[in-house]
Amino acid sequence: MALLPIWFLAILLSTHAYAYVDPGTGSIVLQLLFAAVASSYFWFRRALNLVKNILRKLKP
Amino acid sequence: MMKKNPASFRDATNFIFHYNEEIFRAIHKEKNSDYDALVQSKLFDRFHEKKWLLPHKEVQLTDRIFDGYTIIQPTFLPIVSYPYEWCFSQLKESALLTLDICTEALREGFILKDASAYNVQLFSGQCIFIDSMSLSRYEEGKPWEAYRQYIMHFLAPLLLMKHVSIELNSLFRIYNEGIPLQLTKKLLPTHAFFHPFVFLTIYLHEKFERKYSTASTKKSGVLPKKNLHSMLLALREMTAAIRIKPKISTWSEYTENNNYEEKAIQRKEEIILNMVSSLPKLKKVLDMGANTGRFSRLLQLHVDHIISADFDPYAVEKNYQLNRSAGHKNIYPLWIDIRNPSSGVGWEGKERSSFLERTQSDLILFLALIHHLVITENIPLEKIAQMLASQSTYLLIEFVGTEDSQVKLLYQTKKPNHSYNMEKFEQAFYSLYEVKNKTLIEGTERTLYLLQRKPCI
Repeated sequence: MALLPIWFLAILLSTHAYAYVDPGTGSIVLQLLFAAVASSYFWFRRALNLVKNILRKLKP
Repeated sequence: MMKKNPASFRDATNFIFHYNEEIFRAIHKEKNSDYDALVQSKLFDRFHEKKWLLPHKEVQLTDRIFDGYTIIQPTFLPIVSYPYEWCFSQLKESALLTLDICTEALREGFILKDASAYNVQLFSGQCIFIDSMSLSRYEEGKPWEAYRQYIMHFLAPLLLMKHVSIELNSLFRIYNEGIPLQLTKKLLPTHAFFHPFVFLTIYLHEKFERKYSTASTKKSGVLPKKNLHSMLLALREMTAAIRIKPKISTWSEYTENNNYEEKAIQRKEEIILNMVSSLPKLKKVLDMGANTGRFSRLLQLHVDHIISADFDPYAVEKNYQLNRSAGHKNIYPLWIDIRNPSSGVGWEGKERSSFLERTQSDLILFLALIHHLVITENIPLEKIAQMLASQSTYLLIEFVGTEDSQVKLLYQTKKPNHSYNMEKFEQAFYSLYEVKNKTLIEGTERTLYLLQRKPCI
């Protein structure tokens, strides 16, 4: 009986039941962010390679 | 008689079935309009040429139950295995293949709607994608539907195998849908997240998943094709960069460090070859306790397919690498602990069948294993004989005598619960098998037996 309040608290504080949680939305938001980061990463890498190539050609 | 495959029910547009002992896929013509578009795009042909996709052909089945379906017949897969039985490299190659198919398909206006590790199998010595209907038309701006699945089926287990333990693909046996992000985040060491892409794809991904987990926060977004392409490239780069350090385990180097003299090993190989040549052509052989696959490779020219199973993941990894570099196409190195082989998992326990169900063979090679099972593991000889007799017609077994130095070593550490000697061994096995050949390996305390299961068993 002494544990009853803890049980109530646990029920009140519990997050949404697993079956009703939507894992997809967070994944989509993250995917948009990751894709943008990846896109910029490859853009910078290409730019850097371009500069490196130019500098190499300029070297006597 | 048509029987649906117990693992094929999640996709409503098509299913795999068994018909007259052959395997087919039925594609619902109305529900799946992508199939015709894929045929027209020649993408199937290109993937077949590259050996990325298991070849299939369209067939006509006259049964009326197939009205409204297009029927295709995929090439028969001799051995089916699951990611919890693979070595690190096989899982990694499967991951890279999945991304390559997705990237190439995207160029032609298609995309993978699934990124399941179960869609890849080892076939003809390399990883091959088996689910042709995972390809569907790409809609401009739509995020990749299978992104989360890729992380849970490939990236998370590969990172865990690298950073925590090479054995963690075993988590697939518990988590049929892939390794949960929350668990991956908890298990990975902090330094793993110093890699910005790992931080994004695991740490932040898990945070976002929790943050947006209620319906009220539902959001959708537009992902430009260019960014999607970059994301696939980034995933490929980070997956390709995951490497494990080669580690020397007791069993991965056992072929070199055992009590056999080279001459005796050569004699053992000769006897095994003689014994196998005396049998009719074998289609399927199961090499249990294969170690790094020395004896599987010995037999590879003489049999159609060999499952080369061992309980040491480093030995399996080495076996896989050796076969890849030698170009052997019919050896399937699998990580199997014979004391606890993979059981049936998934829906009704039937979605992924058990290892023993999948590996009924013509011959089992059971070399230098029995003393470990009886002395160390307390498994009685009768039980071992029964299990082996239920799995194959022929058995090539090595009995390690009580005077052998390795057996003496085992006796030093443990007194066995069950009797172990040649007389008891023969008693247990002769009740189920007929002896075709019994040969002592000269210069050793070891004897090779070629046994044939009695017809009444």
